[in-house]
Amino acid sequence: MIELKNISFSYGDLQILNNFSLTINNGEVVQLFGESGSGKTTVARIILGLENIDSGNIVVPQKISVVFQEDRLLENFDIQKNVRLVLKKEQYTFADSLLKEFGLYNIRKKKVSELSGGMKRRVALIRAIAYGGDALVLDEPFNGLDLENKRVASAIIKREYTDKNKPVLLISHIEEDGKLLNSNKISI
Amino acid sequence: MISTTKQTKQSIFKKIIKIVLIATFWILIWEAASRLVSRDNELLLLILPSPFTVFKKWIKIAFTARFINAELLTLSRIFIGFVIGSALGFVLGILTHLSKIFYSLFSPILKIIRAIPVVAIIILMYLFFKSSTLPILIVCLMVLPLVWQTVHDGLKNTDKKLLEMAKVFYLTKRITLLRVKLPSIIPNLITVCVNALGLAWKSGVAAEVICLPKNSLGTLLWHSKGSVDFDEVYAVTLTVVILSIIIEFLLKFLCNRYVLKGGKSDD
Repeated sequence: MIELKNISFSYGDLQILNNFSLTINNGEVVQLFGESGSGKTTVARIILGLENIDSGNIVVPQKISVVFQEDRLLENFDIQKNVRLVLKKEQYTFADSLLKEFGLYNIRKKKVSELSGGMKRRVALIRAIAYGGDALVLDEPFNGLDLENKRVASAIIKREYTDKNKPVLLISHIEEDGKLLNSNKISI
Repeated sequence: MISTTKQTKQSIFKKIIKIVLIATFWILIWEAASRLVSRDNELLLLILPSPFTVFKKWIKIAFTARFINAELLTLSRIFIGFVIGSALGFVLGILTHLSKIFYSLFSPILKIIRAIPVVAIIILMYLFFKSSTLPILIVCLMVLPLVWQTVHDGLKNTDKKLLEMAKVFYLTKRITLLRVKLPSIIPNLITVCVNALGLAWKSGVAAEVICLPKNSLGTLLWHSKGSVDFDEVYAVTLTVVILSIIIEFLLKFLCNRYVLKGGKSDD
């Protein structure tokens, strides 16, 4: 479960969040909806422990998987090495099966710098899912993906997270992305 | 596939033609300057001989045992100094990045070494070291601060977004250093090493000219100048330039082939 209670956060003098609260129950997907600059990504960063809040309470699992807004991959490493970077050896087989499902297994030795934007996005998704966190944070996860790949990714996310009773936070300004994951919409 | 090979061959051929044309242009300038200087006084040909004379001299001396011996020893001194300097700079760069105490201790010394003129270091160190080992030390001292600074600054300025990724996925400090930070500095480090190699040649041969070790290109340069054999001065200089270009090319080639190729995972 992810629970944020009465969170206030500001960058210097600029107040980003004021008494913001959010609860995501186990097995639930919540889509955070809002204009750019409304603080959606800040909420994700607070959940991931990358920002210190001014006030409020946070309850989050310790191990959280994430797909950042940017891919944040090591450009000079190949696909497989990027995925394996965050994994334990016993997770390698599962990661390889995900590579197959996402259609990247045959090019797993290709350097990330040689991939298209959509392929990089898929690698970032595989890395997050294979990591197997107790919650999943997705910041614009389907950027650059076609509908077919969005469907594949959504099905795998549902199977590995919602079906296993883990909470998922989806940050996306595209309503259809939320529908693919059967999410509850919350505006910010 | 066939057309790609053809294109590569064409581009290599074009590159060679370009290099030949540029070299011809500067050799002609050299020839013209040599003729112009010696027009009124043929003695001045001693100071600025024609490229043909220098080439003839080079052919004459390049394959003698004395010259090859000097070449090999200079090359080995510069190579040893460069390797030790680069390795120490690399390790110190990591240590000063990891520990503030190390940074406080070493950064002033390395900055001072970088600021002191090469000749001053050579003269000072000549009091403590043998003439055969001094060039190695000088090359090492020239390369070390450059590599150190590059490694230290590169590690310090690693992409913050990648570091956040490492933090969120709980990568250990060791893995973050080896897999995230170090690979990001490699391209810049290679450029610096190639530049440092040029500096290594200059400072290494300068050290040889001043401390005159038994077999060295620097000593040959000094003796040629002493016996007013400027053809030989130019021929030795030409050798230094050729060796420097070959070594630089080899370093770039090896780095592109084996280092920049990147991380491939094992199955």
